[in-house]
Amino acid sequence: MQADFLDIENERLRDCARDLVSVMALPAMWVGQEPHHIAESFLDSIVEILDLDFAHLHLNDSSSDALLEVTRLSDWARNVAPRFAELLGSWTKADAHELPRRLDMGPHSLAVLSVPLGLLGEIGLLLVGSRKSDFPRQTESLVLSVAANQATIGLHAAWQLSEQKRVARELDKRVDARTRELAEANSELRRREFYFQLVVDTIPAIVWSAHADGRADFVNRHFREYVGLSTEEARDWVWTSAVHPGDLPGLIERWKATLSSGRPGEFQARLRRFDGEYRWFLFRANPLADADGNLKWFGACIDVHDWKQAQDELRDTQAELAHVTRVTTLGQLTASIAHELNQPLSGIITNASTCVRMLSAEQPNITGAQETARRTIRDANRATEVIARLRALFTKQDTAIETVDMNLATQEVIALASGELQRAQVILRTELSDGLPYVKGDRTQLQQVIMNLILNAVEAMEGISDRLKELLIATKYDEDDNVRIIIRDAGVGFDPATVEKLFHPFHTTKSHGMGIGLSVSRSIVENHQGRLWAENNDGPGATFLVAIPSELNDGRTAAQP
Amino acid sequence: MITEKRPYVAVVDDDESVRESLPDLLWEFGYEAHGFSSAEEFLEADKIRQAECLVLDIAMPGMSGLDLQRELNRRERRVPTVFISAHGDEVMRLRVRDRGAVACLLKPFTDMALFEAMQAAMKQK
Repeated sequence: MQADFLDIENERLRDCARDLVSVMALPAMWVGQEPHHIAESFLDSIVEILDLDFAHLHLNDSSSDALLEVTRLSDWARNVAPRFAELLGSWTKADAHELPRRLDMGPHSLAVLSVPLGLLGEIGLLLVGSRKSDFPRQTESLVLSVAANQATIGLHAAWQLSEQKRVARELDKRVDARTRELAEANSELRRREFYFQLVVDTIPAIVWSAHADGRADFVNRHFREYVGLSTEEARDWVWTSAVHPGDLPGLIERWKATLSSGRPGEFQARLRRFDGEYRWFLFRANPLADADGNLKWFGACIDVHDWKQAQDELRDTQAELAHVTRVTTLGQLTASIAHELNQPLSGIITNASTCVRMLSAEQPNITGAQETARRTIRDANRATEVIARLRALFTKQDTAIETVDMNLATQEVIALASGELQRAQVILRTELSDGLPYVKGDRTQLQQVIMNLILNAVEAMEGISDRLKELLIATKYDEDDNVRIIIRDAGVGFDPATVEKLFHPFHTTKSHGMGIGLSVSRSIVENHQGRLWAENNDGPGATFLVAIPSELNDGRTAAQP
Repeated sequence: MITEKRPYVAVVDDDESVRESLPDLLWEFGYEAHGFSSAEEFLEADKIRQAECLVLDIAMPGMSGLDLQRELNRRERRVPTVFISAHGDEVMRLRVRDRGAVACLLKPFTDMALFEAMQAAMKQK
């Protein structure tokens, strides 16, 4: 009896040991499995090992709020399943400790046991039931608790794994999203880069950048195509090979001066086109410092060839026009010049004749002859001076900048025009200001302007009979450091509405003359940074005013008041 | 030799070299000549009665030679007049001659032209 008992006990312990081994092997099977799979496998295992009628696993899935419930019922239990379903609703919510240990189920009673999974049941709750009257035996409890532990470990690992997977998936998702964003940003960047490249390459100008030491590090397509150099060739100093040899030393000098000044610069030079033709370009460079204070240069070269040529042509045309005006003026002045020359010539002839007669007399008058001979020489000198003045005024010559005393220049013109003034019976009044500063300019051109204005004034007074033909010629130093020449006539004046027309080329109110005098005069004055304008007098006539910046003027353009 | 009184000639010209040179030449021709720089100066000098011939520049500031001739006509003092001008042309010369001038000489003129004009003036007297 004792031995039987021991045998039975041994048998039980052996069974228990075998069951424990099976249970202990479970986690190995569950590696990498999903929690629900583990739950099902766990329940199947313990139902089989412990021959249970009922097993229910209620899991708190930590990764989601969803409950995972798995139930296993024996055939017997399935017959009474409605009751289980009813009971499970209350059990799962109830504290495991308060569960009834035994439930009456018709002819049988069911031993019920709850086992928490996890130290505090945080993993879930296992409910098992058996019709066996001795359930749970010690060995069954042991197997159950070990199995529950194993399930805890397995589920925990599974959850961790699934959490890791979830995190990994989330991470993947984020990486994907970020990658997509980056790809989009990249393509936007490429698109913009392409756009800017397109702008830089299609802009109708040469665009470039250079290092602080002046070496080129980028030139746009326009430049490369224009000079016929490759991107690589155009770097550093190779671009200078396209600069006209005559302009290169000056360009390099200016470029280096700009570099060391660190300020925007501007220069002009000719660039050789791929076909060998040189064209004028305007180079402009701007410095830009980065956050570290390193300087880089950005610039553009604009083709100003046609503009420059037009400028040159304009200058030539102006010079031509100025010459034509001089010749026209000469025509108008013929009478005046004849008078100017006839006076001394007349003196020469009279004096020389007198001299001859004095010497030819029976008693030669030596003293008288000497006096008349002296006068002859003086008159001849006068004639020479007139011719010299005329030559200066009417010779076509390039602009010659010198320091000009406008009082002296004005007096010389008055001397030349005095015959004309006399012929026209003009009463001249001069008010030449003392201590007038010098102006810088072309003396002959400025005199030509004064001559034109005087002749205009004379003409404006032609036919005036009801008043004196008064002409005032004055010089003045104004408050803007300009020297003014004021020519006021008592003529017919002008219509204020069309005053600007006076200065248009070929506008004329005269029956003869080309009407370019005032237009050329104005362009001469403006070339001297000056202003030429007209005002009607309070009384009859008009006043023409010339303002030329004096030497004391610091570069401001003479302004019209 | 009987010293005949030289006829008095007034030269009116604003040009100084003419005023200086003409009287000397006229002296060589046998006249006594005196220069005036303007018509106004001549009128003020009160030599109108004395002058037997006038040599007048046409274009002068203020009163011109022609104005002076007109003024003298107004005063009924007709003096043979030789006009001289540095601006002149043939048209003007004829116009001046029509107004009763003895001659109109265009500057520069020769001594002989002046001599002949003076002789003509003296005949007219």
